[in-house]
Amino acid sequence: MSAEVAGLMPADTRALYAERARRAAEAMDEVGVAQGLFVSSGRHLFTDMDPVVWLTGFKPMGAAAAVIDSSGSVLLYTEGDWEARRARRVGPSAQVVAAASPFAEAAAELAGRAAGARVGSAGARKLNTREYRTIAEGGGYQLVAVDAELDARARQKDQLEMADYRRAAEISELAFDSLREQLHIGMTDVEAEAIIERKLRELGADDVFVFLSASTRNRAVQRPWGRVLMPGDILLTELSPCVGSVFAQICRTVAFGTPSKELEHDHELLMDAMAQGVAACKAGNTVSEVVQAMDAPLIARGLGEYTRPPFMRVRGHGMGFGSVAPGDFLTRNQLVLQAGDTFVLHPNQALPGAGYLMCGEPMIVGEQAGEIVTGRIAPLEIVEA
Amino acid sequence: MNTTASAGAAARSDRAFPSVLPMMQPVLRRGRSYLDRAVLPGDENEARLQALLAQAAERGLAGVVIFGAAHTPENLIYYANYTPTTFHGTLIARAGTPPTLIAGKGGARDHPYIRTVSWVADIRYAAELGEAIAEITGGWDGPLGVAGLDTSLPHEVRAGVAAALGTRITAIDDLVTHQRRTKSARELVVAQRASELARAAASAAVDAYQAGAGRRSALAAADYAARAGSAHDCRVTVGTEGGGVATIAEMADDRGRLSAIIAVEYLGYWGLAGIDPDAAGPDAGFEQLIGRLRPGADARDVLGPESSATDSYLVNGLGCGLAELPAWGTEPRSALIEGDVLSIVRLREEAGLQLAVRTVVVTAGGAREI
Repeated sequence: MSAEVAGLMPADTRALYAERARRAAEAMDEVGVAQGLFVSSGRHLFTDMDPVVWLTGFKPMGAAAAVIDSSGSVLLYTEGDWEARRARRVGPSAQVVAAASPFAEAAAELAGRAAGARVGSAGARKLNTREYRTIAEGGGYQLVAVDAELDARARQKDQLEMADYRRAAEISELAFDSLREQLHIGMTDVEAEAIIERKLRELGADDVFVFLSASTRNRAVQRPWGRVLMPGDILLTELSPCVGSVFAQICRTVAFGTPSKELEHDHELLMDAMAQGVAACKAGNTVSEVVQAMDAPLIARGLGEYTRPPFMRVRGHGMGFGSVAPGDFLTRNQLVLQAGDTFVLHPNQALPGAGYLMCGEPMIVGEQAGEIVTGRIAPLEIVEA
Repeated sequence: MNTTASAGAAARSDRAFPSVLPMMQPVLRRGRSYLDRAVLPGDENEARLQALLAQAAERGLAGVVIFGAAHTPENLIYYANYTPTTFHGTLIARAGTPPTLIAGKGGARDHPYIRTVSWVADIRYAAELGEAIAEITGGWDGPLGVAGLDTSLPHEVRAGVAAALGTRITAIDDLVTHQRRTKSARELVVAQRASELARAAASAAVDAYQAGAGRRSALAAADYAARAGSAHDCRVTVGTEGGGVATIAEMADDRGRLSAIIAVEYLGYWGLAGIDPDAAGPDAGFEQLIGRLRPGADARDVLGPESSATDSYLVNGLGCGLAELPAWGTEPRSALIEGDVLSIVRLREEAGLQLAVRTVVVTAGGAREI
């Protein structure tokens, strides 16, 4: 093990991963299986749980498979020795095996352990057909999905996830501060996005989901394309760094030059909607109730039709790579919030005046109200012309 | 000189070394996303699609269906200049009719953006992909050439497509991968630009490191230079003093030895460069290897019997993907052809793992660097 590489684990972190393995075994027990196969293709998705990452702390560059039994013992198959070394550095709670084909070797192990039996699988839904056939065919066992049960067990975030979530929220603000300091008329949206990336890399983010784009009247937020930022532009960014494989997100709107009255009014409306949502983010409320609270200020102003697509998509959502509960913030989501739930809350949407605007903060559900991890609902930012 | 591709005593086992340099895939390709009408206009993509349709017709196929996804976008980049955001996409085409691009997750939110980058005018969203393809191709008489079915779609989505199209599916992955192998003049220009961008980013890292920055900050400077320079995606793999590789985030921000490879995607094409402030001049091993590259040669001719105690090489085609034909890591007997663009990654085990890379195009007279 090299001291040059960051992320070496304290002893108590091992206990946290042992507890995750125990929860995974509990999920498997719920569906009546004694053996589990958790898989990651190495193709990472922002709003999906990655069961290998969550279980072991190892974020693979390629395929990886974790075989877990009812005692919580974990065997982690990685793609070759280099990946095995990375896995041992960052996730020492599992026994690591370097494999030419992690899926095939994990399947062979399970064929010996669970011939003729059912095996709980997690992450298999995302595999392509070649990958899925490797784990599903010829093993002599039957795969049974345990994704839902695992997500439920992973929903209560542990100390490490909460610390990473708070750190991700913190560096999202630091990156936006860095951007805000350097934004000026005449720079491009591409440069603006690169500033965010640099700061986040320096601060240790292991990935980031960023949308950043500008227009005089946005229809949505997208990726930068080279636009020169000029007075009258409205820049939007959805900035979501990942720390220790946990994402947090902030959403910001920046006016270039003196903002129009419409823009000021519409952004304040979103801040109001956000505040109503924060107040509703308490344990026992449903996601639907939070959405209704956020929609209320718009409906009160006669903008009811703007609380539905195509003017908005969702009012918030969970983020990977652990549990993504409580899922998408939609009226139809009747899931009851519980203390400690984490997600981004964002009344991002198009309005008839200023177009599509953004306003969003990372949240933690509390007993009485939601905690805004960044400590504020960010106002409209203004770059002087 | 060792290779994972060659046989004999000098070869390393697959378990010790990968066939391709591993790189962490991001959740989103989020850099500059645009259509460069000057360098790579949409008619270039359209001409490629027409050429594929002509080949498909020779096989008796009524049309083609090309699948790609956010993490496997190569075919969609090649034919439609489209990289799916977080999901998958499908290009459906037949001769004489404008093609259709099925794109978007959960609706058409992305479509205004897609219209700014892709030449394909008919863009649709489909909740049920198989049914949508069956409907669009329903009046076409004959089987369909299909690429990316087993590699780009989640298996359950693939099952839906297979059920909807049934026996009409004929795999044409081979046609697509071979077509992508031979680069046009425009592609070579873009590949050159991608390499230059990667080298500029590498220089930014070296400059930052030599000015006193820690390794992580120096690599962040490279990432910034690439993205600010119009990269659509940027990835870095670091060789560690303990052996093996790491991501930027896994590196301490210290003053240890810095050795990394940066990969930059620009207009859909990858360029690579090495980052090594301690690199000492020309490398004889690289020169010997490059000197043996010519049409008709395969891995056995190039990676040869010579061996050194410290160096191994990974040789792969480079284009819209980081590892394309000829993939010597897995197919060492694949012979070079004129126009192949190759990345040659040197792995040196000396005080840890040190990485270096060269990129060449194979010409009739040998290989030249791009």
